[in-house]
Amino acid sequence: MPPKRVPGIDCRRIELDGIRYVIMRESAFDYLCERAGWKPAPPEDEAALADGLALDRVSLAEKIVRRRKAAGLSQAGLARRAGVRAETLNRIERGRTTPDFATIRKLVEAMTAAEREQLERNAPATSRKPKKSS
Amino acid sequence: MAAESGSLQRGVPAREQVVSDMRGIVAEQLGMPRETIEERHDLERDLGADSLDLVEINMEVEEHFGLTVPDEVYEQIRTVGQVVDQVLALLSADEPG
Repeated sequence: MPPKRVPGIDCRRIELDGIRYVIMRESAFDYLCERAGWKPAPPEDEAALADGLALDRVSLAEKIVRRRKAAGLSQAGLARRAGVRAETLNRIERGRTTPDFATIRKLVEAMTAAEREQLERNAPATSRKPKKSS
Repeated sequence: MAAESGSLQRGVPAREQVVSDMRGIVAEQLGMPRETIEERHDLERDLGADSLDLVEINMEVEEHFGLTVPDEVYEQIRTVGQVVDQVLALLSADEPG
């Protein structure tokens, strides 16, 4: 949807994964809070917000959890199959850490393999590759 | 898939061919129409890919073109066009003389 502007306050309304957000300058937000007599809760993890990766981390965490469950894997099971420490996966799924590329790859490969096995189990007669080839 | 690819199976494919394939891969991974995807688009900033999408796109690229893009190379890539350049470079490197 096209971004809408609110007169007087420079802000943008956006939607991410079905949740609507308003993005505005911090000074404008502080001003509004002051006018309204609100005290905004301090951010849980100041550093995470500052590095701008917080949103990606959360969306990544949600997607991995969703996909892992769809593949019928427990957290420990996925960690074992991917060769990733269980504690590391736990931190990733709670959005506490940004995994590097190689780690995400190991997880994706393990989940893809599990999804294939699941498909083959469910449809042994017509077992085909789940993904189209070219 | 290709309308007409002047190049052949074992040679390095034409750039337009790789661009076309890349648009298909990115479109499928991100669930958007391929017409909206352009070479200049930054995968994260313009197309909204997150790190999981990037990894999956990379894996799909490797499977599709039959090559290995080292993670540290792929991590530096920002745009669709840069992936295309990387694919072409890797395919050319595989070519014997």
